[in-house]
Amino acid sequence: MRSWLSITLAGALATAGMLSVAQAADPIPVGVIANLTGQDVKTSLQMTRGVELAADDINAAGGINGQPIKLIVEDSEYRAQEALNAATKLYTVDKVEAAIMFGGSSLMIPVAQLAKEQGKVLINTSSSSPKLGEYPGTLFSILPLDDILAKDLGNLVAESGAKTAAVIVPNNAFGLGVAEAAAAAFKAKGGTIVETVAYTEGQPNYRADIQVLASKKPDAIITCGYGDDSRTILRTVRELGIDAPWYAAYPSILEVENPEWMNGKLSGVDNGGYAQGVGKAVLDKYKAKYKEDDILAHVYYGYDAMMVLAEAMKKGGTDAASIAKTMPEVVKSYEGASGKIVWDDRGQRIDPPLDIITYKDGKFETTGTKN
Amino acid sequence: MAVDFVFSFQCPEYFVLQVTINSIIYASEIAVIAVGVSLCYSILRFANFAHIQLAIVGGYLAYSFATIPGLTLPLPLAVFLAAIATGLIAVLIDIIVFSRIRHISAEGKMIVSWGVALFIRSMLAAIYGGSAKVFDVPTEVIVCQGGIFTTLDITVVGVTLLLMVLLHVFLFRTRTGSALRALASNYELAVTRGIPGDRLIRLMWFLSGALAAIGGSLFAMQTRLQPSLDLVILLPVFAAVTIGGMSNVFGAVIGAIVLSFAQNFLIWIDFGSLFFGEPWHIPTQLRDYIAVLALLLVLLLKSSRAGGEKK
Amino acid sequence: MIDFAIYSVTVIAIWSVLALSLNLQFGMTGLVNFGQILPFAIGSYAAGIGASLGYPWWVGATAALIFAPLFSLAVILPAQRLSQDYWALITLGAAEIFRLTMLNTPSFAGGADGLNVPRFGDSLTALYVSLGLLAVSFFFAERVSRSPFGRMLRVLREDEVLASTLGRNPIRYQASISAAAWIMAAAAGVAYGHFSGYVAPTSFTVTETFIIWTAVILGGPGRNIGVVCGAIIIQLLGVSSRFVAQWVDLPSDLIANLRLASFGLILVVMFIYRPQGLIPEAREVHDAERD
Repeated sequence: MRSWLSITLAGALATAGMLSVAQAADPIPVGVIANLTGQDVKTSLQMTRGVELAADDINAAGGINGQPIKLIVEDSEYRAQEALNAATKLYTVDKVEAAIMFGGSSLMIPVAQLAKEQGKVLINTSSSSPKLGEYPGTLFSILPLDDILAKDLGNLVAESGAKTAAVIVPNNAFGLGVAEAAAAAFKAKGGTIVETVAYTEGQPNYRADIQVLASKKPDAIITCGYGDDSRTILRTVRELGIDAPWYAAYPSILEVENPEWMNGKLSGVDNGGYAQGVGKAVLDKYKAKYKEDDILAHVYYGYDAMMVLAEAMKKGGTDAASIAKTMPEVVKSYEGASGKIVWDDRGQRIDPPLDIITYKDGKFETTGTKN
Repeated sequence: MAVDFVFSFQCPEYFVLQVTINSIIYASEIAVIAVGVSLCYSILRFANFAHIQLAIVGGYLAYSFATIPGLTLPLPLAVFLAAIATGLIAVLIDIIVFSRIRHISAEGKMIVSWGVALFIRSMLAAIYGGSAKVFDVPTEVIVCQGGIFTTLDITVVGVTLLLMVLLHVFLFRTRTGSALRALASNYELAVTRGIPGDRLIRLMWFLSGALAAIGGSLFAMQTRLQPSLDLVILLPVFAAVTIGGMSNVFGAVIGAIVLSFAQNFLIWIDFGSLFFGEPWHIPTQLRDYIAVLALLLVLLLKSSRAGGEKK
Repeated sequence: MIDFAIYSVTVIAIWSVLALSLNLQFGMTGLVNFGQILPFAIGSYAAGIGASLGYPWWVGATAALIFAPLFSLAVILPAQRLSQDYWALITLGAAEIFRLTMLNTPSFAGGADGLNVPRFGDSLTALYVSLGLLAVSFFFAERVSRSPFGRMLRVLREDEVLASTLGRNPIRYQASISAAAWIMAAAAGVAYGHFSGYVAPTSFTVTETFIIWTAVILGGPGRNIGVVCGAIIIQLLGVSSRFVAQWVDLPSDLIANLRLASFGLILVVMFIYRPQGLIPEAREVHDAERD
């Protein structure tokens, strides 16, 4: 009986909640969907905070032509079903015109289809599946597509003089996408991939996987992945005495476990431009607000997503159709925390400012750029 | 002196030693947790999903004891306290939950234990947050005759061995231990012969909780802590327990060793060169299959044996 | 708001079919399936793979309805002599094997990337299809429940030896009911694939299986209307907690964790205080011998 009561109560609360939203007509609601529970929580949380920082900035500067932004954050649990629940609630109950989302392609694509059906806008800050290009006018990506960045990564490895390379990536769309594009570029320049390890995320022990890689004695190791697993992997590699240099897509997302050992050994291609300008300002605000300085690129993606959205709302109106029409225009003149944003006609980020960065003395140094 | 492993394929032989070392380390990591599952199964006759979650609880407690400002206990002491605290939590869970459902079917208890695990997992996530926590344990790398391992690995294997010896002495050399074994082999008979069943069950919970906490802490030091880590190690641990025969406490250790060697060697051996002349090995992502397939295989073998006995 | 209601009812209908399917296996027959998500995944993947190969929707749907019962036989026949807790582990493992296979066959099943499935034309179509499926499943489950066959299943659940002495072969009953139940769950999977427009391995984990279990245990194992109520409550809890989070202004991750904790609590509390569920099964086992 108690459960029935709680349902009724929840229903009543829900209705009341909606009434209060309706009465406060002034703020403009913006949806945020992120996996605050489940896997990749840290990255997801930081993206959400990036959006919050941007909303703070926008509201402090007078909001959207006088109306403040009101963020509604929903959890996706890293499950497609819950992501759909969250998105449906945001689009149909909270009546948001646009939502900013973190999540893998298995969550992003169903939500993109829903957004398209509802005639709304979705801004992607985390998934780089090529399938996302199939929703022009609905889905816009702040994160650059991986194949662009990974191609440069493959070239970088080839230019380093390595003849053979091993690839170790997480067994997900992100990892396999990077592996494929980087390997293709490396092979095109005459390199050989001696081993590809696609590991299951969240494993407690990667010795078996890494031993396979060790027995091939590669000149270089190509990798990508999220902090939690990369820490375990880098440690195991160090302990097993594998000394090859590392080349990573987004090395700044990796968690360096032993700075001394990694000194000068890790480099890679990353989104350029965080270190100065807007990126630096966002970093400072983040540190001040959340008392944490271990920050990932997704803070900048979240920040830029909210900023671009707000700019479009200011210029062209706050309904989804106007946002979708105006955003590609305002993006052209927008200088973001993650650098210049260039979209192709499908709203996918291409030609991002790329930095080649190397890990030295406990931090990343920019050793080259490509704009 | 060089190591005397001679294998017929081209890989340098010290890799065999290394893969053996890797297997032993992984086996130790899961053995301590698997033993607790068996202990519980041997007396209460159900596979306890919540046990693996208790290991994670133990890891988090040890982490808290070692890092909370003002407390910052040395690691061994923190783990010891976490073991006692987790043992008491296990007893508490028995008092609140499992003691009330002693009479229901094994599968009913399994479902309840899933509920308990889900509850604890969500609570851990609510308290500690979903992001990973990391123990910073300084380790030294040791290279010995071509085999590489770390001081932490030695600790993990050493503690596991020590715990197994202690558990063996307790079960086979003490009166209480014999009483526990009597309960495991025939509960009704043991109780009618005057063995205090309920008190010993509580003791069993305490022991398995404490073991889980130590196993979980070692695990966390090797990798990290996350509320949902139990879902990742669930299948390997259950596979180890099943291979070992479910209710045989030391069988679970054997199961962990068999599983670990299978996982490490099967994806490392170059089957291609052995049979076809072209280098090829089982793709590493199939490592998870090995655990699940081992689990299924053993259960199906049990099934055909059970059928044979019936006829 | 009406859109959200349509969406919620669709989700509830699909999960109710899953709960009914588990109820046929566990509630009526006593088969402990910890891999209930497997037939659901088979259905969704059949829809996805069919679409990716360019076939019309009914090809995928037909494949689902053929493969699901075959898989159920493959799982139940070798395991027939094992006690139910072993069978629980086998089904758990089987579901995991299927998920891993889909994850590691990118060219066939999309791998980690998943597969697109054509969506229902509009949300009302999805609603009608799901409700229709629920109605058919419910009608079928009720028919089984009231038939002599259903009463025999209950005898089997209570006492396999008694069932054998009545001259019935337990495995034939178990196999036919699980084949029927898996067809039901696979049909729900096909509908879900076309409803969500996407299939990926992450949607079919052990966690999902236990959400179905929570619904069955809460509603009342053995009682069809009960498990449907259970599914409704569980899905409503999921949906409504989002509004609660917004209303009380707590962080949404905290609310999400508390919601999951409440699922765990439901399982434990129901087993201790009300194992028969909210709407208990009417006891009529003793009639079986008279048929």
